[in-house]
Amino acid sequence: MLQVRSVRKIYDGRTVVNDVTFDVAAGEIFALLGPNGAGKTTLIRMITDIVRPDGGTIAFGGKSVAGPQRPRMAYLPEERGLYKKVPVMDALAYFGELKGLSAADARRESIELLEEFGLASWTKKQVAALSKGMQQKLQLCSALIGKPQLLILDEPFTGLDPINVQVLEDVLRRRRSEGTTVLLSTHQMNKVEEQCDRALMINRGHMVLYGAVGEIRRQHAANEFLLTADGTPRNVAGVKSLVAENGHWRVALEKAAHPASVLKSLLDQGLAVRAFVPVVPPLEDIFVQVVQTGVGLDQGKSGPPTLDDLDVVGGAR
Amino acid sequence: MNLPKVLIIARREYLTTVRRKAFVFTLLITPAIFFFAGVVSTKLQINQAVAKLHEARIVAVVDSSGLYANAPLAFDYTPPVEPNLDPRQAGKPAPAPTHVPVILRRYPEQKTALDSLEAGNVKTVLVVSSDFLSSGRLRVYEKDTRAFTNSTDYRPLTNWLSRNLLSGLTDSMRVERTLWIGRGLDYYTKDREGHWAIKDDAKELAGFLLPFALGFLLAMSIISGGQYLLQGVSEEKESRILESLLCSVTPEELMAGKMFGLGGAGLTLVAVWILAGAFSSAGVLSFIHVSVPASLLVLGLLYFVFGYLFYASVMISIGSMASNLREATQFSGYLTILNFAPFWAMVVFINTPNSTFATAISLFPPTAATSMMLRMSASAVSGAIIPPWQIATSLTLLAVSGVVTLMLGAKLFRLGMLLYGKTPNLPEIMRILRQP
Repeated sequence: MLQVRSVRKIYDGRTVVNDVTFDVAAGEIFALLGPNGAGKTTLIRMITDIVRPDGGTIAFGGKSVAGPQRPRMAYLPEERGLYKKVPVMDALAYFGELKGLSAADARRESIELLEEFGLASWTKKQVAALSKGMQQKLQLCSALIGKPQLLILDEPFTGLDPINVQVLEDVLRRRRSEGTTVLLSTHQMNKVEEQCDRALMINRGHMVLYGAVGEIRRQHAANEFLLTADGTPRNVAGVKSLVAENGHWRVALEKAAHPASVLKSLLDQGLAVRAFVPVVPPLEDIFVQVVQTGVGLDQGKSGPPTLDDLDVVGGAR
Repeated sequence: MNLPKVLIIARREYLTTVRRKAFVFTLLITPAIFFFAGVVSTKLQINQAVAKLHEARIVAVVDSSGLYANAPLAFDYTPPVEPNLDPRQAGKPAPAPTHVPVILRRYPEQKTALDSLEAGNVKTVLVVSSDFLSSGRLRVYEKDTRAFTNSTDYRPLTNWLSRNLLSGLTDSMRVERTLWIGRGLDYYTKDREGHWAIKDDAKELAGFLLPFALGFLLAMSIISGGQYLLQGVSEEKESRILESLLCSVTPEELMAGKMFGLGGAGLTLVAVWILAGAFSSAGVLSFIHVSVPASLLVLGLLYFVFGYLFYASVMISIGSMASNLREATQFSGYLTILNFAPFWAMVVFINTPNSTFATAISLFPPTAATSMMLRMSASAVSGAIIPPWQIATSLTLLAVSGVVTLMLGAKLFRLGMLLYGKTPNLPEIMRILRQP
C-alpha cells in the first residue's frame, strides 16, 4: 500500500534521510523505530508531503503522495496540539470536514469517536477545559476521524493511563481489521512487540533493521534455550553452559550446535522435557545493540548503503 | 488548490475571529472612542464657545488713540446667523437672533484696567494703542484658561471698534455693509467638468474628508486583517496543530483559507464602521450633495485587495518564522507603522499632491495603498489631477509585490511553521527560501 523508494533528504549539506526504501501493506501495523535524531520525523513529513524529498519516490495505493489526489491519511505528531478556545465538537468536526466529510457527517463521526474514547459528555466544553489525558484522546480522535487509509501515529501512548492505552490498542486493532494501514513510531518497544507486524529501524538517516518483528527478534537470538523439565539435565555435546534459573534451565549452545540434536540428547537422558524454547531477546535490547554498535552504518562507503548491507529479515523488498 | 477546503478554513477562521470578545470589543469600542473624541469633545468646545459668545461682556477700554472718545459705552451685539447644514433643520424658521449685552468702562491707563481685571470687576481689557489708525495695533487681556480661543469671541469688540471708527463719517447703511462686506460674496471656481461654479466649502471639506476617511479605513482594514492573520498563524504555531492539519490540506490551501477568512474579519470590522458612519451622516452628506464616486470605491477595493495581499503575506511570513506571538507582534509593529506612515506626510499631500515625494511613496508598495488614497483626497481640495499612469503603475507594483511576497510567504509558512521554539536568523531564512 505504502511504497517508499530510495528516499533521501538533505538539509544544509547534511543527509538526514539516506536512501530509505520500504513497503507497508494494507491493514498492517508497521513500526518506524530509531533513536532521537535518526530522521524518523523527516521521513514521516516526507510521507505526509509536508516536506519534499530530494530524491526517491513515495506512493500510497500506487499514487504519489505529492500528487493532486492525496490519499486519505492522518498524522498524529509527537509535538501536537489542539485549538484550545473552541468546543470539543467543533475542534473535532473541523478536522473531519478538512478530510472531506460533509458538515453533518463530520459531526456524526465526531460523536461516534467521542463515545468510543469516553469523551461524549464533553462535546460542548472548551478544549482548554479538558485534562491533559483527555486532550491526548481528543488528538487521537482528530487523527482517526474521516477513516484515514493511512494512519501515522508518533508516540501515541504518551500521556495515556493504562486504561486508555488499552482503549487505544483496541481501536488500533479494530481499524486494522477494517483495512487501515498504521505506521507507528514509538520508543515503547513492548508496544511494538505487541502491536506491530513489521518494523523499520533507521539510525542517522540509514535503514539499519527491516522486517517482521518476530523474525527480527529470532534473528538476534543468542542460540540460547529455556529448558523446562522434570529432573536435572546433564551436560551434553554442543552445550556451552547449563544454568538453573527460576525453575528453568538456561541452555547456551555452542555456535555450531544444532538445537534439535541437543534436545534429542536431553531426551535420551530420560529427562521429561516439558518445554525447550529459544530465548528471544526483547526488541529493546536489539534496539540498544543496533544503535550502539552502529550496525548498517558503513561510514567508509562512498554511496548510500544498499539493502544487502542491512540487517533485513523477512521484510518485503 | 482545493477550493472547498479553502472555504472550510476561511469559514472557521472568520467565525472564530468574529466570535472573539476582543473582536466585538474592537468593533464597538473603536467607533465609541472616535465618537467621544470627535463628536463629544467638539460639541463641548462649541458649547463653551457659544456660551462665551453669548455671555454679557464687561470690557475695560484703555483708548490711547482718542478715536473712541465719543463712542457709546453700552450696546447689544447681535451675532450674524450662521447657515445651518443640518438637514433636519431644513425648512424650519431660523432661530431668533440672540443679543449679547456689552458694557464698556473707560480706564485712563492699562495698569488700573488690569488691576480691575484681576479683581474680577471686568472680564476683558481692550487697549487701543495711540498709533492705532496707522498701525492697527490692539491688545486684549483676559483670564482665559481654555486651550483654544475662537476668533468669534472678539466679534462684539471688533464690531464696536469698526462701527465707532466710522461713526459720523458715513451713513449707517455703508457702515453695515463695511462690517459684513464678505457676507454677500459668492466665490466661483471651475469645477472638475470645467464649468464655473460657486465654491462650496462644505462640499470641498467633505470631498477631502471622505477619501481621507476611506484612506484611514483602508489602512485599518489592511492592518487589522493582517494582525488577525499574524495572531492566527502564531497561535497555530504555538499550539503545534499545523502538522496534523497539513495531512489533510496543503500549506497553500491553509494559507489561502486564513487569508480569506481573516481578511474577511478585517473587512467586517471596517464595513460595520463605514455603515454605521454612513447611516449616521447620510443626511448631512446628501444635504450638501456629496457622494462617493464609484471610481473611488473601485480603486479603494483594488488597493485593499492588493495591499492586503502584500501585508497578509508578510504577516504570515513573520508569524511562521517567529517562535511566539509576542515576538511576532514586535516585528509586525514596524509594518503597521509603515502602513500608516503616509498620514505623517499629510501636509505634503495637501500642498503638493503631485510632488516627487508624494508620487514616490504612492508607488512604493508598502505605502502605496494608503498614500494613493490620501493623494486622491488631497486632489479633491487642490483640484490637482493624479495622472492615471501613476495609479496604474502603483496598482501594478503593489499587485506584483503582493504575488511575490505571497510566494515567499508560502515557502516560509510551509517550513517555518515546523520550527518550534526557535526563530531562524537571516541566513537560515535565506536557506529556507532556497529550498525547492
